[in-house]
Amino acid sequence: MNNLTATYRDLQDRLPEVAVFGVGAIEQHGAHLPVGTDWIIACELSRRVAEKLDAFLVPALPFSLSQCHGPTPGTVWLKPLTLAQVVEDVIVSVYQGGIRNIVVINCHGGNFILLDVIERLNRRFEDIYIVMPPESLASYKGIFSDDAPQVEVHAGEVETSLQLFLNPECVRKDRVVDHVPTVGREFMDYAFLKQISPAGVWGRPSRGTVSKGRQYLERLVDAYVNYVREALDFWRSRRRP
Amino acid sequence: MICTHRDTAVDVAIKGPQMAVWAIGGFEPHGSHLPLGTDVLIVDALAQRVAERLGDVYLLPTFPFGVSVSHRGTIGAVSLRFETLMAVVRDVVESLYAQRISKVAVINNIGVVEGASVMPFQNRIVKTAIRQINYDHPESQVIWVHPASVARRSLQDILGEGGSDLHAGELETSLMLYLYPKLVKDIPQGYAPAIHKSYLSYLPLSVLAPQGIWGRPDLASAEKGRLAFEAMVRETVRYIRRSFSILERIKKEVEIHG
Repeated sequence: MNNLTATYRDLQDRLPEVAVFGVGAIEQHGAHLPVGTDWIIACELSRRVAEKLDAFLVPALPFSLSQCHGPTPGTVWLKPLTLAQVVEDVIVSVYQGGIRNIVVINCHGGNFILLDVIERLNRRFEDIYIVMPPESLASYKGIFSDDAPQVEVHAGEVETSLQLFLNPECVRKDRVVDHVPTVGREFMDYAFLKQISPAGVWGRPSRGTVSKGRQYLERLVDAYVNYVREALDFWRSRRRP
Repeated sequence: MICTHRDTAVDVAIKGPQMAVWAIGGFEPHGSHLPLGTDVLIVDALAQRVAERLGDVYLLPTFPFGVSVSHRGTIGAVSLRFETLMAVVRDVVESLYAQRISKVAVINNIGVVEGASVMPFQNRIVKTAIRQINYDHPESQVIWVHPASVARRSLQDILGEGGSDLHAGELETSLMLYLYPKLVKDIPQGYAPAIHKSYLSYLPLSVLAPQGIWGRPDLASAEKGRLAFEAMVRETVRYIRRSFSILERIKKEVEIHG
């Protein structure tokens, strides 16, 4: 029983080997998806991964680096160093409580600083092991459009499908607008998404379906769980006795 | 090109550059065949050539230290904390903005051929730093570029299997054979662990690749280095010009349409 309704004694008696911590975002998602989209996905994805790993589930962080959209109603952000400190503190406290292996599940594309935090913390303690499954592990092939890997960045076919599966009543189908900018994705480092795409969309949400959402979520969970298991095996085989 | 070891402040004032070019390197062990300063040597040579081609730009001295957690503790390695490099980037860019140079191109180390153009392979924090600076100063522009990423297609043609190298492999060894052949020592066999490269964030390179290399330096040549260097200069110049031109258009459209 490794969830938030457990008491600390329950956790102590059957100490989980792994903790799972999702990071979401609250930010504009076009006219058709809720501002909480990334957080909703982070909560659900981390819950499912934690269940399969029999892990301790840390509540997903709702806020992260959402500056990329520019100032927009409903967008909340943390400054990069604030996010870094929050994530570091969460990981260190969980580690000090006895759980050595931590899985961070990032559900917002802009949080590149997470890797810097994880990289450093992995060197700080001898027996800590923090992994962050890359989103690219779960391929789009067979589920989304053939060019989805090149085209899907924000509030498009992928995220719309996930929300149609998880929260269909929150998806405003009548407001769906497809938009694929011609610039590289790194342009979000240089200009606000609302400048690059006035609709606030980078992708093709009109192609989103419930079935794609369900299939992709399952694929994500399986890919992440396998990744964590392999990474843990690798770690165990490399540790000094 | 305006450069700091030759030009005075008066020279800069007269030329009135609109753009600055600034390279950031790294200081890491590079196996037994390449010097510790390899990244700095390569990216510095590249930045000079790029700045020359761009014309009246202000070329800053190459900053030698990056974030190299993977090598931390290994003999010869120097690494900054990511907060430090983030602050350095901000301070340098803001000093340029303060003297009305409103376009800055940061050549962030070399990059890797197979890397995604959206995320740096080295000095990742530079991307985050630049995104935040652009948020805080929307009237000016700073961009970053990994020369190996933008020249990916050409490099895939020039290099052998070494296209998937990550460290001290075919690309870096070839570039050094071209630029500084006397600094290249006996080239070892290749080594490429069959593991996901994301593991580099979890375990030090000394555990994942005990020889200190991840790639095929044995496939390197000076001729490949020459071709690779030309391609990286060409594509970096193209990326910089094109990006600033696109950004000007994007920002103007928003002003017009609101």
